[in-house]
Amino acid sequence: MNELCQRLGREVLILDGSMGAFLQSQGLPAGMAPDLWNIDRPDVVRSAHGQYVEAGAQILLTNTFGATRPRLEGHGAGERVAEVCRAAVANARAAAGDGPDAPAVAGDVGPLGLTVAPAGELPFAEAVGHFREQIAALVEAGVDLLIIETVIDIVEMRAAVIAANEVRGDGPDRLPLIASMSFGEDGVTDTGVTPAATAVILEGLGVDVIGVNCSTGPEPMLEVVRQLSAATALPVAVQPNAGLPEQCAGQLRFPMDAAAMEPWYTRFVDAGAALVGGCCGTNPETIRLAAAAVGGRPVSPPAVARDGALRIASRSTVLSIGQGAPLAIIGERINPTGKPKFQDALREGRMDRVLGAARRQAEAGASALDVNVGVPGIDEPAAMAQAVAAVQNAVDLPLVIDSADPDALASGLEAYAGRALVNSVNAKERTDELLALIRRQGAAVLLLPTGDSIPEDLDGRMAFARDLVDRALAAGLRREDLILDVLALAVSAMQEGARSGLDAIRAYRDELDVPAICGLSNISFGLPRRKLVNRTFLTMAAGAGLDAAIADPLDGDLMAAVTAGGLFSGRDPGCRRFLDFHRAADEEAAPAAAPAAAAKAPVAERLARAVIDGDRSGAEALTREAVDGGAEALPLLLDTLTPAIQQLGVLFGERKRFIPHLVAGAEAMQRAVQVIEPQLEAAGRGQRGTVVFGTVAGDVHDIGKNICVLMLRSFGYQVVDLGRSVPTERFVEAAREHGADLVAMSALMTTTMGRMAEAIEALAADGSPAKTVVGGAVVTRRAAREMGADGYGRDAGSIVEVVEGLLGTSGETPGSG
Amino acid sequence: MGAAGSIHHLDDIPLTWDERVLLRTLRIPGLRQVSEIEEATLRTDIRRAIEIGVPLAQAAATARWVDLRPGVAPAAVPQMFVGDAAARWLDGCERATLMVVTIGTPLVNQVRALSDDEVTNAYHLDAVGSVLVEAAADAVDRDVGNAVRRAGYEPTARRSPGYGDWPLSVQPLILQWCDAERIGVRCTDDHYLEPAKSITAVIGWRPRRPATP
Repeated sequence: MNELCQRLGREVLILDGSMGAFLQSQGLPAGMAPDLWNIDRPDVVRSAHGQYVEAGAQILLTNTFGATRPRLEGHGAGERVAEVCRAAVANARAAAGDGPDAPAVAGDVGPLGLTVAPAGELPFAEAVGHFREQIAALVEAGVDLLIIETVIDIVEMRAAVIAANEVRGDGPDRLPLIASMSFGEDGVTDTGVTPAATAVILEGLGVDVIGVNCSTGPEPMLEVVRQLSAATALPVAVQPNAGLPEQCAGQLRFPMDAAAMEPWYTRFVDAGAALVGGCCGTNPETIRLAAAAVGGRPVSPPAVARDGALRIASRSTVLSIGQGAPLAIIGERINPTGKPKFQDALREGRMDRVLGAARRQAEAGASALDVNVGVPGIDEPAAMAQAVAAVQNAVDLPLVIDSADPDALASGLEAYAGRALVNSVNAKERTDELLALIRRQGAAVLLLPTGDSIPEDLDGRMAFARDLVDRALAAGLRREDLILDVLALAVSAMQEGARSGLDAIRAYRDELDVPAICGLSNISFGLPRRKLVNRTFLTMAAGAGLDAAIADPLDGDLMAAVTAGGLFSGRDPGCRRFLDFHRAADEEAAPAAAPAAAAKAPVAERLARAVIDGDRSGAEALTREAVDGGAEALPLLLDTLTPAIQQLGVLFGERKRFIPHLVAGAEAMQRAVQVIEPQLEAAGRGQRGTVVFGTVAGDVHDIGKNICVLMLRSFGYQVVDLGRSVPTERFVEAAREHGADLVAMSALMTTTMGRMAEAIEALAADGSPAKTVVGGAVVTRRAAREMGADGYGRDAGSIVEVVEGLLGTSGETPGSG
Repeated sequence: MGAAGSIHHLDDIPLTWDERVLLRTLRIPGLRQVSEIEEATLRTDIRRAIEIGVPLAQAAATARWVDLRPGVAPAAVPQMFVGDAAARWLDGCERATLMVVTIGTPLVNQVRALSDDEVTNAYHLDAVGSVLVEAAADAVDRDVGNAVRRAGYEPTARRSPGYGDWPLSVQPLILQWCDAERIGVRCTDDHYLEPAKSITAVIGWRPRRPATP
């Protein structure tokens, strides 16, 4: 191994700076691949490397950022990957020289320029293949280390690192690997991955250095360096841009010169960076100043000592499992076993049940979600990939990929943008094959201590556990990648076996230094009051040191018991988690408790609440209940429903409620009014005015109009809904026929907006006294004025106010006219 | 007939979307996830709309590039890119990809079916449809962008008729040019797209700028 590489993480090493801009300054035509100049103009490439060597760079990146097959194909050179890489390494090596202090040569790998599945079309395996081709060529040409950089999609980075791992192998001379992502100004990648999650995912894959490059310029990158350093004990690399490029006289220009960049290098190293260099817009002078400022400085020790916890991550949530961390509840409900509708949905390729279960569990406070799609007769690998892709887009919790089918595990892991836990590997079937897969994919693994038998006693469990841990470590996994299952046996059938699970928890930790997990539901099999049994066992297991459980987070009592248990197991410093959980639970319970209290409250009060909350079925049922209890229709309308909808309007005006609340509240009001409509008519209820409403001729979009109609009706106006694409003459006829006080029209697009002016003119020509209101996506206040409308409805939230203003009904009580 | 690419039809487009976008479409500000909505009824309603809407989306697209260079551009180009806005967006571009994207009729039909008696649910489902068709367009946009980059160009941002002064009246030409009939997208006389949750757009191909890491 290159001597410099052995100093990685001990002293600050200097990477080089931008290559592309230098080549362009030497005449590289716009649109031509810089990589091809390794062959066509090796003198220029070597000169660039040479200038960085003189500036003090200790690691030179080969000019191969775009030397993957898909990128070279764009230049008609897809077949020249190996040739380009060989030439690039030769050029860098020629500039580096071969003395003891010679810079190391890093094989540079950039993104493919294609989006990898599941977000894109490029299959994961093909992405790995493209990277493998380039990396193998670089290694064969003799690089000292590898750097994968400027990647914004963590799935693509996973593919690249897997390829690099395949090529560099596991031996003692394994080449170091730097994996460097680009983060946006908000400190996450374009696909929403945080620095902390990046660290967990890339550590799991076995990279040697985690980095940030390109991105936005030094200032926002400093925070990313801090977060990476706080999340990993691995060395951190940073290669900043010289700010964000600006267009200047038709040329791209970077706003920061070398002197402006220099102070940032000290800040990066103070924040924990162990390698520094430059990206777009930097030059040899930048690197010279960086080397002078921080080159050779001892690297700060990691901000956090690794605690040996198992860590998994989604794109932006990291979950630590182990001693000291809160007991993790892994939601078990994405599982079709015993659920015929769930199974049907999966057979039909529908993810609605999966997503529903995911969202409910996330909301209930699950720490991670187990994903199991095992239904007989389906293509489980395809279903698993689909489920993982869907769930990771819907909720931001780490996933546990659960299958007995190795192909389904593989496809789930490939589709996942985070670091997953695999459930599970036992000592009986395809053990080593599965451990190799898990290692390759950088996942963690749940080890199930069973083999030819299911051991009931502690000795039996430990024998399998030792064997599995040894085999996992031999496969290249780390101890912090492992978690052992307690084997929660049904207490109804194997009372001793169930109890000895508690002893196993302690033994796993004390003897094997591996955390413990249990699949909870089996413990109560065959018994009544299963939730009580589950909860009790979990509390006892937590007392014995259990680190995680696969359980039902929708069981509120169980979740409460878990947080209470944390108070006594040293997993909840300052009782913070307990307090947070119960504060949230109390707030959540408030609406639930309210109905209980409100059940005793007068029905009118509950009805008003239902309207404000947009509870349509509740409003309808409560109105019936009120009528059955002897309430009269008109007072119900005037004293209960109307004040409720008005209060909702006030909340909307105060921006405490929004249009969806208003729509739901109006529909609840309408449902309630429909119940008492016959009595209201019999009582001779008046209306606040008559409105004729429609979308103009040619306009087929009526959702906005429908909402406005609903709003107006709930506020007591009689609305004649003409529907959509209404001809001008129909507006005129309807206004005349119904004695309209107001005609309202909507249009979605400019092509039909002109019809509003036609209708306004036609109404005037007919002598209609009706006021006119126009609205819709393209209609502005000015356009409304120019076409001669009396009023302008900005949106459904404003329509009532506009109509009230025009008809002078704002002070009236709806229905009292 | 000048230079133009062949027509690409895509279906089974992966839909990746963010609940934040749905909440913005529903005009609920300040929240990131549906689970953050305080009112249980509204939360449940929106979730149900998602669960109903996502399986109903049948995302499909069709796309075709056209040469913009004088002397090579097909005769339809001057009629297609009228107005200052289009000229500005495509300034310096040698080619442009026209695209038509839809999520089909099932979701739109369901919105219509709900419109009379369940306006709230119709409103939520309509918003889900808007988000899904944008997600489909984003996916096609990414694919086109990748293809443009592979060819040595940089893609411009995606623009649609109706923005700036690029008129809706170009929509029939775009549909015809991309053979949108094949994915079931038509245009009314007033240039409304049917199914309603459909999008037409253009992405320009600009020669690559001189900046690589």
